[in-house]
Amino acid sequence: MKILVPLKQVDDPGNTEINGQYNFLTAEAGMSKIINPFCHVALEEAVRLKEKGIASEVVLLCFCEKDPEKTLRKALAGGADRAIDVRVPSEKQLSPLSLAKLMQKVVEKEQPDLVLVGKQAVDYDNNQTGQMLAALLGWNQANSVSRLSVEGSRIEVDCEADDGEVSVCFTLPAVLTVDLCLNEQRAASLAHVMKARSKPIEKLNVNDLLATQMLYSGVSYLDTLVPKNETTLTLLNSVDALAAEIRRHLVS
Amino acid sequence: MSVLVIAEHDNHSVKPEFSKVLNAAWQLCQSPEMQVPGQECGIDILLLGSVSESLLESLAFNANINKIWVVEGISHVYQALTHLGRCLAGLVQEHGHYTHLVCATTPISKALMPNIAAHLDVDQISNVSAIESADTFVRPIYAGRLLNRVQSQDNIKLLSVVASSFDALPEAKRSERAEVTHVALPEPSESLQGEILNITQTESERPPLQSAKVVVSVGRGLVKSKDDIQRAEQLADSLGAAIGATRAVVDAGWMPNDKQVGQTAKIVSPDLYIALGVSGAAQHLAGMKNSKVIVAVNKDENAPIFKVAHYGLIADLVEVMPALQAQLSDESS
Repeated sequence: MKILVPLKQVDDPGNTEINGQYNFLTAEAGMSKIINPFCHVALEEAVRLKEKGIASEVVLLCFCEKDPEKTLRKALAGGADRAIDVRVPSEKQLSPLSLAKLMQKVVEKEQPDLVLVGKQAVDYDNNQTGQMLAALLGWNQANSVSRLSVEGSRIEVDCEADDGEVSVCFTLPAVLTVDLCLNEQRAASLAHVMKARSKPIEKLNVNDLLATQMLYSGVSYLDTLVPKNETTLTLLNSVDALAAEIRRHLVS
Repeated sequence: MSVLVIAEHDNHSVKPEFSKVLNAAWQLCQSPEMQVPGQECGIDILLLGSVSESLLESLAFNANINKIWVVEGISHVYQALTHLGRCLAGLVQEHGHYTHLVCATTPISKALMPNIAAHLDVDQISNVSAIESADTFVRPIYAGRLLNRVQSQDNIKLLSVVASSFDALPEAKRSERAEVTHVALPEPSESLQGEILNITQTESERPPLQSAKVVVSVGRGLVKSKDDIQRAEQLADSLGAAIGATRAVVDAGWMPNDKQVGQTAKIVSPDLYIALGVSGAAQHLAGMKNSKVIVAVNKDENAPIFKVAHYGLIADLVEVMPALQAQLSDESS
């Protein structure tokens, strides 16, 4: 079984602060982008399936904006076999649907049995691309997966429901979007880091996959605002006062 | 021109957030771009799976609803998502007067809406927290640290809305019955037919997190052992509250995943949110800061939770919990 893991680069939320002048996040000088944490979980799961002998090959796909070589070597050290680096013009903001269309082209070429993708990216929090890819491919889909097991061509997953979980089983090929609780990531071993240096990285341009006009999105970003916080805090000085406030607001 | 709302239900009643989603749809209808002479903008609703006669009747006489679609032949949405996405996109396209497809942000809509969007070849706008006009919307990004204004020029706009950001639309009755159309879904092909193995519902004795009036939420500052969870649960029970948790508590395995409150998990806005040992990471705040009253207890006076809290107690929970429980259980007995 072959697994494709698309990766997204994001600004490290821990190293950004709000820039009051532009109402946007500013990364600390010299900060490089990180792989979206949800994508890391997808990569880890793919590697585990390979270690169990279920997957034969794990291929990474990144629409990297910055330092693609460094980003992909680091990701390859997680245990994937090879990577595809698709260059996107830096001024081009790709919408989730455009990304899904590009991924579709790669899937058609690579023919994986399973696509494992993070359920959302920590920058725009869309939670869409994996589901869109499943629709475009006409494949089975499960979202927010917290457990998975593969048995031949059948896959069994637990996914998020309103107040609990639903276990569902279907046939491959499939696109799964994964939640953070699916696994605990391991640090890359030195052997993997060394091996990653010589693993192949295929370089493509966006237009090798799709013509620019196919990447049109009807949705455009106008501007960003900093949320207003108008709360005034009343400090309480005892548990009695705390209980009194809780009681008062229970009644009203 | 009409707005189509997907109304989630459990066969007998619509989900509590429905009236809030209806308000979002109503706001779309009221915007100037939707005012065409001689044409009234109305709200249609779509119910997935069969519904009880009494639910159908109560919706049919709701003055805010023009027409009701009942899509039958689905035992569970997760069973054949891609098939369902394709069929619903087909339904929307066939009835070309829909300008918007709207639903609440829920686990089901997160799975389904992008699939419908891709079948319609449009981008979706997730987690809308405010509607400025029929084509301009506000949504939180970067775990709620920023708000992004976006505009859609698509002929049909797909929105999932954060229900807790909207007030409930006051219910109005009318005497005329709305038109109800039943649609039977075709069977999916065998390869797109999944099998539901198990549905686990964690605990039912407490109110559901997203519709509870009171939420007791626990963070790593409280939870050091299973006993701490029990203490919080006991407190929640004496208040008739739902229980929630931060990501750190869920990641450590103290609480199930579906109890996590935050931008990437459940977004709640109860009347009263009691945060116990919650430090207030940005992504947690994005999931609860719209609560009407926030009470926080933390021993760290610099914890970010105090920036959104209305009432705060700076104290060690080891001492607070037993005393608070004693006070509040006195009240209820």
